[in-house]
Amino acid sequence: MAHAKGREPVQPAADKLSAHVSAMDGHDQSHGSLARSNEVMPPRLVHVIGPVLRYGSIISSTLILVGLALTVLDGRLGGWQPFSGTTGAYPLLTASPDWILRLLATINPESMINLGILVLIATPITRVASTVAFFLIKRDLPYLAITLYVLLVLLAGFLIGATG
Amino acid sequence: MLGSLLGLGGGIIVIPVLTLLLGVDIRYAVGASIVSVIATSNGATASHLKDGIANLKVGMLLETATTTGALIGALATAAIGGRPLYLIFSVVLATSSVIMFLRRNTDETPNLSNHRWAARLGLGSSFQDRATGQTLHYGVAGVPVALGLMLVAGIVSGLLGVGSGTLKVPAMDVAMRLPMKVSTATSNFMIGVTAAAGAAVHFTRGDILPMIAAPVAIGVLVGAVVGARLLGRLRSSSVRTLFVLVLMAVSIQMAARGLGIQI
Repeated sequence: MAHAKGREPVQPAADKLSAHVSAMDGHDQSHGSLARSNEVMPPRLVHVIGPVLRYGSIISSTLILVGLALTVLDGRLGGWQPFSGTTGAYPLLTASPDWILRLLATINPESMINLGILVLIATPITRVASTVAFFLIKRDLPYLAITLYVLLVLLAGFLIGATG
Repeated sequence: MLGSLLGLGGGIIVIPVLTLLLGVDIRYAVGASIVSVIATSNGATASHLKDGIANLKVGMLLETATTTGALIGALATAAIGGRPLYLIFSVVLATSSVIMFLRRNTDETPNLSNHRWAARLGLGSSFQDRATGQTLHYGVAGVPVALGLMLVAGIVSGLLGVGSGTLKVPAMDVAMRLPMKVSTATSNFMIGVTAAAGAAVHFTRGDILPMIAAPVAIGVLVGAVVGARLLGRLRSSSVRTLFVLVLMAVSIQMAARGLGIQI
């Protein structure tokens, strides 16, 4: 950081904030000891957000892909057994080896895709909710307020859309 | 793929393709687009997080403005006619691209000073540029201006079902004076949440048709992961030039739409 000499410091409150910054960005963990923690290492924000986004993406794309595949299969199986979401469950324990196909036939591919899309929309919302929890645990009031506000706006979207 | 590389959600490409090429009703194109936008952001952010380029604090702070705007935008969709909106959008895009073009070579000397609020919230950070191998420290300027611009970006996002990365990236780039790669990565990070605010309204209204949205979402998600991998390896100036070209093209297209000219 020698080149910055004589100019404004990179982070004016660097000492106070360094633990915080490293917890956020994960570059420099050498001085990551946070004041009141007995844990070995406080979880970093990246470790909270990363899995939420990853699993959300995987679950939603799996649902959507299976739904799409079923739609394609629909044409082929159409004469064999009609697709419908309302036919109710077939007996699963039938001796017939094609019970899996029968089970699939009871699933409405369109509602499956819809569920996938709902998971997709819910993923960023879950991400925000997890940051709210993160800052609550860390007692970081400014960021708790910021993330909580965002979460409320997101939830308001569902309420307003449903009533409007 | 192009979308996530530039910090765009991809909606800007998806909407013209759906409406102009495939003849989908604009209402459902917006619904499908906003889903693809979320898919892009989820996919790209999941990859970006490991790079540590995105500034999460800046992202979370600006999300307060973008989600508020997106909610307003999604609610206003019915009230505002499509044509004036396309025209406004076109003007905003053209302006952005000019600013970006003028600043295209001023990237490598990062801004080191912080705005008062940025210092208080500890927004300044650093990242490692994989193209040069150096660790770049930077400050965050112009927070209030950026918040205002993000409100506008959010409104556009909610209205048109785009991620409005085209507005977010210049806002961070120019107002906050963030390094280009940080702006792009942070934009991707925010886009999902911004779009989710609008998508919630569109979804509960029934504007999202599964059979249109599903193939779009899958295609875009795959592209987003590839695009995010590439971002870390490219030089900032090449990202910027590509970005300007895309902005120009979309702006012309939007203007034509607004004036009712079929391309």
